[in-house]
Amino acid sequence: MEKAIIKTIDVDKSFPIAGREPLQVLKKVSVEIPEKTLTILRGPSGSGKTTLMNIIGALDGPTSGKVFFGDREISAISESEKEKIRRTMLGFVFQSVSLIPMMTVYENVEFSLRLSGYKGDKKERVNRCLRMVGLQNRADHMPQELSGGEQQRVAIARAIAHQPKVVFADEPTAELDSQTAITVVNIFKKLVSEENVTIVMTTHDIGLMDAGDVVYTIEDGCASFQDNRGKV
Amino acid sequence: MFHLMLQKILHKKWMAVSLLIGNILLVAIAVSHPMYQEASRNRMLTDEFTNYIEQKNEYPFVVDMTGMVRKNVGKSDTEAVREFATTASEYFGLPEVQKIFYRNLVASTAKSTTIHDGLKAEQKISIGTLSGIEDHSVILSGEMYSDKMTDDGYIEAVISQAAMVKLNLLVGEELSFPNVKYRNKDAVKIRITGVFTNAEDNDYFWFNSPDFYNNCLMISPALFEHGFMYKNATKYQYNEHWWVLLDYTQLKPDMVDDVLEKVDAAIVKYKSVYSSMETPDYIEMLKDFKVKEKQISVTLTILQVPVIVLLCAFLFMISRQMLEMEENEIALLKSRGAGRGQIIRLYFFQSLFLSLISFIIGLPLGSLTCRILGAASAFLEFASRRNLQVEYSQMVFIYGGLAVLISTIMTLLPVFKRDKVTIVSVKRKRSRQEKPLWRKLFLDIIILGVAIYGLYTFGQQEEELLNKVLSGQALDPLIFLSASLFILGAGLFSLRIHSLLIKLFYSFGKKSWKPASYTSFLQLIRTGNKQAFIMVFLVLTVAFGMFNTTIARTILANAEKNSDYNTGADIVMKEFWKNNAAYAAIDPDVEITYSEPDFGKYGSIPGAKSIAKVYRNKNVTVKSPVKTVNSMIMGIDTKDFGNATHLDGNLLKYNYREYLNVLSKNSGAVLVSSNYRDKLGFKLGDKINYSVSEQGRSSSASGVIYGFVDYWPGYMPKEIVINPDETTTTTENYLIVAHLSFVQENIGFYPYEVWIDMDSSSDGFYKFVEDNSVRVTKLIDSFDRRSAISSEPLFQGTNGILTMSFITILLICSIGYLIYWTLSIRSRELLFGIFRAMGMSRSEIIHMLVNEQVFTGVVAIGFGLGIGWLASKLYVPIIQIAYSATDRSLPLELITETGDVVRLLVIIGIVFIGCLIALINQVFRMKISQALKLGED
Repeated sequence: MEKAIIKTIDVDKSFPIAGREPLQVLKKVSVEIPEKTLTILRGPSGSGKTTLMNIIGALDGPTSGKVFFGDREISAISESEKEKIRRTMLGFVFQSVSLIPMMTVYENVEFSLRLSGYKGDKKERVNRCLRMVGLQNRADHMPQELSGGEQQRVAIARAIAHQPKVVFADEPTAELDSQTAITVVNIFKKLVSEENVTIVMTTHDIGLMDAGDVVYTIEDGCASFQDNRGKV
Repeated sequence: MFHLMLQKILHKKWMAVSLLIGNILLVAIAVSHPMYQEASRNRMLTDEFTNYIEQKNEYPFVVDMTGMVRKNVGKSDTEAVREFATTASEYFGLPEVQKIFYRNLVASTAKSTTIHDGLKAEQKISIGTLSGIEDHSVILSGEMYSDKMTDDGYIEAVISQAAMVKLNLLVGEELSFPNVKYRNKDAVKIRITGVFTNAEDNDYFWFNSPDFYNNCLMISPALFEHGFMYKNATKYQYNEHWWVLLDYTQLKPDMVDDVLEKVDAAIVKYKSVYSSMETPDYIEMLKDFKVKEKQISVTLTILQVPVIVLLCAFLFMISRQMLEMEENEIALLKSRGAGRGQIIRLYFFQSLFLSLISFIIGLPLGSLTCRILGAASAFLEFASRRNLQVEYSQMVFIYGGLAVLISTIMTLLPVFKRDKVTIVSVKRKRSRQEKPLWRKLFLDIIILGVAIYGLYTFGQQEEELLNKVLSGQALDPLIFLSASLFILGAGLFSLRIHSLLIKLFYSFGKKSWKPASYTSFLQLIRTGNKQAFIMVFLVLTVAFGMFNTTIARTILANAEKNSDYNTGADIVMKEFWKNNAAYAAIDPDVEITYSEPDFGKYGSIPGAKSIAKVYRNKNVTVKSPVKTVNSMIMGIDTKDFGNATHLDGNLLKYNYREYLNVLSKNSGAVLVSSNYRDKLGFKLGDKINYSVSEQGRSSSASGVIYGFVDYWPGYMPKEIVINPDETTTTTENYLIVAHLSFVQENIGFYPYEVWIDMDSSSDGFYKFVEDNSVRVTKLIDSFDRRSAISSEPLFQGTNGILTMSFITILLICSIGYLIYWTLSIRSRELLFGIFRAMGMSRSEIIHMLVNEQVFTGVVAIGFGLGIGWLASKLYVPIIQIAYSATDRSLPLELITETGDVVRLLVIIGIVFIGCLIALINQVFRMKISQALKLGED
């Protein structure tokens, strides 16, 4: 198997519940996300896929087990180092509106460049990203003036703008109709091939499952692997 | 519905608590107003009566009536008077303290049948009777009269000491009245059995002291009635006097109008040939009270308007914030089929519920506030004084009810604005914001324009306004309104400037701003409307706070300074000088000479820093080519005078001491008031001739003018006199300051005043007076006058209300700010989650929030201070006219105590830091993954 950009080894995650046994969400999960793929984490609601994604996205830490980002063990680094990784090497797309409401479409995308300290021509980069998601003529709009699908596309543009290694998308299509959802997934596919980025996406939509290069099915806190590459 | 409402309130407890606090404050302030007004009016009226007693040494509320019977005529009038006297208490609605009923025969001539020294052949002595005399007097010698005629045909009588002396009568003396005869033509014979006097010192029965009855033999009422009224009345002329003392302490200010009318009516009704009612002296006092009362009431009402407006704004703000948080719920209710009416009703019940709780808590709190107000001695200062009598009058409930109504409306207003929301519109609404209406309409500039026009107009009529106030009217409320409008307009206008400033600042480093600053600027620029309200609120509170302290400090300090200046020194007194005035009165050729009491003893006054002899005389005539004027002369010892007096540096052209130095150079030198130069054309170095009249003798002297002074301790350059027709006349006062020794040589040796500079109180002086038995003929105590000023109802009320407003403002400002920030953070938790996910650190987020806080809060406070200062500068000179007195001499000086501003800033600073701690705490506690979930509903 080719090089994995993210790897987890026996990750457990449990949440404390007042007066009761902690709720174990992930049990000894070991996954490997291959570089430059669209990897899908699928499973029914409450299966733990978002929890897993938060852990591999350095937003949350595991209760036990190890998480590697490339060669670095991110389960063992400080919060400020995690922040730096998030800022420069990761991008996020969330289920619901995640744009910054007081910034225009352009500014939203540019903001991630500001955060990561992007050195290149910012304007050019923002426009390129907006073109990639097909919203170049919406640059001056406020997020609230866009439809849900358009907003999600802006979020994608923002997530890839600073040229991260991995983009995490948590149920990005959950609030969209199936037609728009397919558009979003197609954009992801295009990004994987054109921007050399790895995309990890969670979904409970069975129709989208086969769209991924690699699929992990999460059920009852355990993950099973499926490789779609080479399939026709 | 009730259940749903309770759930809603519990769900948002903190908002509900804030609303409740706002409501309670509103009610408390609203009700404290009529309470305080009522209580201070009561106190004022009581004070008026007390003064009346002190000045006239007489019971202040007496109905004084006379009825006369003349040979059987006038009986019905007398009956009417009698009936009125017995029902006067009912008529005026005041409890009766004492009724004095005195009857006497008119013009009875008596002849003593007892032989003793100094006996007059015949003299006019009246026979009278004073009902109840037995119970209120003691017999000094002899015994009380009996109710029956003696066996030898005498009527027994008692007399007062004054009558004994004046009529030269003795106990046991027998008198016969040749022209007062029984039916059998026998003359009435009276035997004096005793001398009476009052049994107790403070007995209202002796409203007329026993000495008043100095021409009368008091006999028993039964004998008087039997002998001289009824059956026999045809023959006798007699008078009936009634003095009904009513309990003035029960006279409430509200009753004054009624009482005035009733007195007038009674005077008219009982004025006949045979009866009359005296016009009481207290009428003038009560009329005076009415005028003053109105003046104070108007002034105090207006002073309270800003704080009430701010409270309303506060309620509106909180309510709006609460609704903003509940928008989703409203939308949800709607989507489930709740009608507009139902939603409004839900909120109506909520605000009614909160208002009612506030009403119950607000009433006693208002009464407490009122008591605190009564103890206000200066701005933000309290002293224990007489307690205010706080009452729950009808007005209190009306005001309380109005406050509840207003708060219900204020909290419902945002509901009406928002009840049209649906799920869709909630989401859509969060789009690009529009400029608020006031900005589009340039409302701020219009308001400012109106305010400045008002200022200009009033500035033009300053003289006229002063006259009105001095003649007892209240200052035009529009002036206060104009000042409030100015603050409001400037506050709104400052927002305009604020957004310009932020944009300017933002564009300076648009490219290079760090993400945190960048975000906060965008937040400020793009969601300005949200901040606008809290900013206006902050600006207004700080500006009003500053304005209030300036008014309060300025009026009191200026009044005190004027009083001090006009007095001249801490204590100005004159001792009695022994003289030969009595001889001089008999022999016009004898000159009055005075012998100076020992001055050295003044050196022993404990706490006296310096003492000066000052001769003052206002009967000085100065002839000049222009006209002859009346002047005052002041004879001083320059060194002592300089030590005992003070004069603010900016009042004179040169230093005050320099004038004294110049004067000391030449014994014939004088300093004169500037009007000698300006009105009469005198120049430096001119010789001025003046003649001083003292004790009817006039002597001339002259001096060389060494300097002109605009101000001088104890010299009032202009004097305002209120004419009977309520206009005022300003007269120019002239002053000549000369050496005391020179005056004494040239004019004569007359009593001078002693001016004393005291340490910190005048206590030592009084001890000195008592210990040395100094006979004081004149005394002005500056400490006394100052404390009298601060306890004047107008000043005290103003201080009280401004202090209360200031505290309220601080309170609502703090709460408002805290709520705004807590909510603002809570509503942005998802956004912070996104920022954090994108790799922003906690400290960057805190940096962002601090930046926002600085650019809203700190800037708003800066604007507030500026506007407050400007408003004070512009309006206080006019507003202080409301407090002006005829003795105003010094130019107005605006006084802002830095301490007050610091207090305001410290408290706001604490709130800021509190907010910051809450912020940091919240940011650190926030879990990114949880914050992000907030977006998933």
